[in-house]
Amino acid sequence: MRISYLSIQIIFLIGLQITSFVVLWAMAPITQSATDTFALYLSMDLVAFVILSYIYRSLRMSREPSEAWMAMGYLTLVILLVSNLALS
Amino acid sequence: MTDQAEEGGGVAETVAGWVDSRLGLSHPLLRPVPEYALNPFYWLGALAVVAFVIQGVTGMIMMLYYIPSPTQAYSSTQYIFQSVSNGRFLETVHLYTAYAMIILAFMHMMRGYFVSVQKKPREVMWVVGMLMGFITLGFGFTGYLLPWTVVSYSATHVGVGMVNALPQPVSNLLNFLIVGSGGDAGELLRFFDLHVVILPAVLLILLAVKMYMLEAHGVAEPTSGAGPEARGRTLPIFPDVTVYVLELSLLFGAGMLLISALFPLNLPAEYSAITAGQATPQPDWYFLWIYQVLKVSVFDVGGGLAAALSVVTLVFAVLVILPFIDRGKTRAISRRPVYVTLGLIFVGELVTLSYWGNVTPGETIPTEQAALVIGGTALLIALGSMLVYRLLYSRAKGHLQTVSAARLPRSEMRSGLAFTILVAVGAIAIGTLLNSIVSVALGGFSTASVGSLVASTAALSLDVLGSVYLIYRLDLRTGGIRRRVKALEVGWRGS
Repeated sequence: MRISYLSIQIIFLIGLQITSFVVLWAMAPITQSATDTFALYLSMDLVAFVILSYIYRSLRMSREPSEAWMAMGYLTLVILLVSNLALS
Repeated sequence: MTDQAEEGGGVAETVAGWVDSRLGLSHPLLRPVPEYALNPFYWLGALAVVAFVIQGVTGMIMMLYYIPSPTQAYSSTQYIFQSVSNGRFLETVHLYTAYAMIILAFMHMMRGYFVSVQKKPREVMWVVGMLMGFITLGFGFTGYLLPWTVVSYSATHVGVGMVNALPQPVSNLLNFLIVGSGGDAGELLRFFDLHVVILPAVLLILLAVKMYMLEAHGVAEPTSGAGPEARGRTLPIFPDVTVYVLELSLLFGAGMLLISALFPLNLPAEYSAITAGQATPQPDWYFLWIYQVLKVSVFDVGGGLAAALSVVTLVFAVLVILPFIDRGKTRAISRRPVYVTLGLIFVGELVTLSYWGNVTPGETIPTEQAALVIGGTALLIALGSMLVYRLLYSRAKGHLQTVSAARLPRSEMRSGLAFTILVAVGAIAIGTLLNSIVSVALGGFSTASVGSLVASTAALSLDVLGSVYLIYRLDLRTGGIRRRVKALEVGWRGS
């Protein structure tokens, strides 16, 4: 049960990375607000990758990923997303 | 681990295995890293290198547009800001990662100082690291001039003025190296060359030398010492350590992006004789502490600037040769109160002077005020450090041991409170006393100044007496104020 929950998270994070990548590819950051959006999406992309690699490293070392660290990672993603929405 | 996880791990393992087999990353070129080193404090230097790489990438993009000539430097920078896609963002990221690199290098140095990594056999690693730190400051100094703004030009010339104040032939040599004799154009070109070619090349060579020595000596053990079990638990450099460093680097990168987006850089006005006349010369924040020392009025006299610079040079020289000064074998913080306190004073002075410099641009600092602030900061930190050592490491029975602050008995808390009150009263009394002395010296005797002088002297005397009494009555074993210190009793009786 726990692991399938982890699999859902992995799928979500990869989906988020693909979405942010498409947005980054498609947007033309000419204005300051577009540049900010670009930076925030890129940050989201990086943080999602960090969470994914943390999950990978934990499983490799036969440990459960720490819920506190995972929660902090998701909180960072939410803050970045809300900042993005506020900017746009 | 269930099948699903193994499946998920399997895909990642396959990818990692493919990368490893093609690039040979797990080939034992780099030694495995102990598990205890998976701690961000062990990777501050690596993060400084990541910052350097980010600067390299952003700097190379900016070099495509930048023209190092006094007539075009500003306009080409302005072009990057206004017309290049993400240009302003690029400039902001470049500047902020430069700041981050300086902060990370400083944190790396101070962390190394506090946990004594500079001790045998890593003395030369420390010296090389210090040289890398100077190069990092050199990046800041040379890069600051390049946009040719009024702020950057004025600030850089504060630095050049410092070079001129140095004794001959050092002054001439440095002048030749960084300024030359080609006027503004020659100077800007030299700064540009130093910034983009010479300093990066020297830094990379020093980095290679330091990495080689790190491979030879390995990661320093924790100060508490690593048992054979902890020493035996190592992780291969690929994929475990690589992935860990990648995580830290990406988090750092994300943080830099976020800060750059939130606080975009504004380009100040272009340098000209008119704008320069309106600007107050002020170096960038990482040199402010030096500038603040130079602004003290005692250094206003002839040869004063050279004396002030000698003091600053002495600080740097002591830092470089530190491993040959601090020869003690112990690395534990609990057993190095003097060096730890000196380190804390150093950090405290840098922060205080930098902040002070920021709020007093262009002002000459009266000597007594400087003595009060610099001396007061040192005194407060020293007393605070003594107090913390006394509370945390007071179970002295042959050697100092750590006790958890949460388990401090009430008697120790009372002692701590008494010391804190004494320190606070002492600081206020010293401040008032110095103020009274200055007002008597400048304005002569008046009822108010004499009253203040007497009251502050009395308060300070009582405070000193109270401190001595407290130390005399403090029980080193329990931390309580109950009985006299054994050592003092013996000394007294012995005499």
